[in-house]
Amino acid sequence: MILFVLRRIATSIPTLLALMTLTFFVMKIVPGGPFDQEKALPAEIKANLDAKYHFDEPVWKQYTRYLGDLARGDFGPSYRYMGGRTVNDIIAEALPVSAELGAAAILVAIVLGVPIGVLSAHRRNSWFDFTAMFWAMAGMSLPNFLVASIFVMIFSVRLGWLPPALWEDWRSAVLPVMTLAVRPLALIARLTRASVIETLTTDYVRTAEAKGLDTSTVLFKHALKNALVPVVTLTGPLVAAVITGSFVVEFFFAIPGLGKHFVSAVTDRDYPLIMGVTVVYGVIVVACNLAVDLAYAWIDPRMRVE
Amino acid sequence: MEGFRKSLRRFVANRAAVASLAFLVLVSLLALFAPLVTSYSFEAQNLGERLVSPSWAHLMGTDSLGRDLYSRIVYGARVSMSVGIVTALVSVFFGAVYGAISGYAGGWVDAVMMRVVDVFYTFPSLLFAILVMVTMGSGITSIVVALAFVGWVNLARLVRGQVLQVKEMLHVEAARAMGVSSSRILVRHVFPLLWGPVIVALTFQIPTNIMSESFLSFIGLGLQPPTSSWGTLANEGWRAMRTFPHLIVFPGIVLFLTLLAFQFVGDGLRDVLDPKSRA
Repeated sequence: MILFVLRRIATSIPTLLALMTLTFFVMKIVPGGPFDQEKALPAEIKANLDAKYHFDEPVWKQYTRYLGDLARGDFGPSYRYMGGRTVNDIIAEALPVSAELGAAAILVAIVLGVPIGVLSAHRRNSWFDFTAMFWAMAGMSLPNFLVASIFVMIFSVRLGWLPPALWEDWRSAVLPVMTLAVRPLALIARLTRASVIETLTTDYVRTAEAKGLDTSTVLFKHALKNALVPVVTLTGPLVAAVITGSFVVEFFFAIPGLGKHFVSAVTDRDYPLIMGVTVVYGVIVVACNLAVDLAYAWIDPRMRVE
Repeated sequence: MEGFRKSLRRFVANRAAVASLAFLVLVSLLALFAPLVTSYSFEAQNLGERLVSPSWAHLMGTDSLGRDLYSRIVYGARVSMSVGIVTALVSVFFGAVYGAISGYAGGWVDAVMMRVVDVFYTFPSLLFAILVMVTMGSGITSIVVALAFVGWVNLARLVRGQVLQVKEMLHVEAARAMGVSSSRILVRHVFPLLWGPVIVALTFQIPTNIMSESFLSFIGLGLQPPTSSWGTLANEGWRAMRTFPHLIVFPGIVLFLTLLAFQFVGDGLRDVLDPKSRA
């Protein structure tokens, strides 16, 4: 097991390195620098800026410097906020907000999605099943910005119950969290349903039923435990969905999270910020996948052999 | 031929899929014959008729520059649908070729090629797409490149898995024994067995790409005005949502129904062509 863990950790390092390298060179081949303005800067100022941000060095030197800084956890200065805010400051400020938003959305998705999936599987082809699965399909076909618009239109504009933007008290969190939860919720409900249906046909479930155990015990104690194993693997795609979802949700609701900063960094061509946020996302995603694989190996011993 | 008829019968029995297909055909025809089915140009401004609510003259109302929303949606369908289909075709093609080579070659070639796929796979694809858009600037070509750049990964995995199975089959072994070249075996003996799963994947890739395009356009990275896609329309509509809900409602409904229809058609096709992979 320890060997498996070590090997799995070792394989995620090249992934991260590849990601950083890719981002670095993508940013390098972008035409136009951050200091390009309509009026060209005087040559000396340009030279000073270039020297300050090491643009005068050869690319390979910039690259090694970048990797070295990253290894020390230094993402460098932000171009946009030249006054002194570094990318680290921005990330330190924005990451907790996004993490809260994302974790809440995933929690909502699991708490609602798993029971819906189990019930759908239990009452297969019933009215409940059809309705739930139709909405799950609809949830996967609804872009986030439409969900957000619908929610704001109903709950803020018409009913006036919840604020339509910002990130202050719990009331302002309801709509963004629900918006971000829709897609993961639909994914979880569908997968749980399919997985429970498959488990319900196994012999051990039939045995449990034959013993005369009541339905809810069979369903929740016997079937669900095994049925949730494939759902665990969904964590990777879920985190990815929540990250991309957060771009729109934070943009839409004016939430000062990482996603909003990423989108504005892209429009502002704030390369260090773009790279910093990308690397942070990369680490999160790789760490989640690692956690999933380890959890999987822990739950299912067959995975460790290979 | 017999098999095809059987598949067709089974697909036709799936009413949701058939209705969805009909809807998609309708949207495509409207997009194709846009000048014939609209009475206004998508960019003609009429400042005297700004933000008009839906009426007989303007079925879906007008936007803040007095442009007819129905016309903009129909012309937007051209962009959204063709971006969805073209990028899906490109990425499916590259993914299939990549996966086939990797699976068929095996050994270290396979290991290296799949490692590359893993890097792409673990990462949110839209983030990559955004990075590509940053490099290339906004516009329709960049969107196609960016989405094709991230879309091939799933296909590569799928096709590789299929090829690994097919290449052990007897007819492939026979061809190899007769000295047929690898590329010919791939084209003549392996690919024909893959079209089912590939078509299913293609059907699901199209709505994913339409959604991604609308996403990129929504956050302001995609198309630039006056060109409209459903995503740019939604972006314009969202800003005036409180006072003029028709601006977001109509593009939203069309976008949603189209994506849903592709899902239903995809599900229907999967049941018929690739029943094993049903989740």
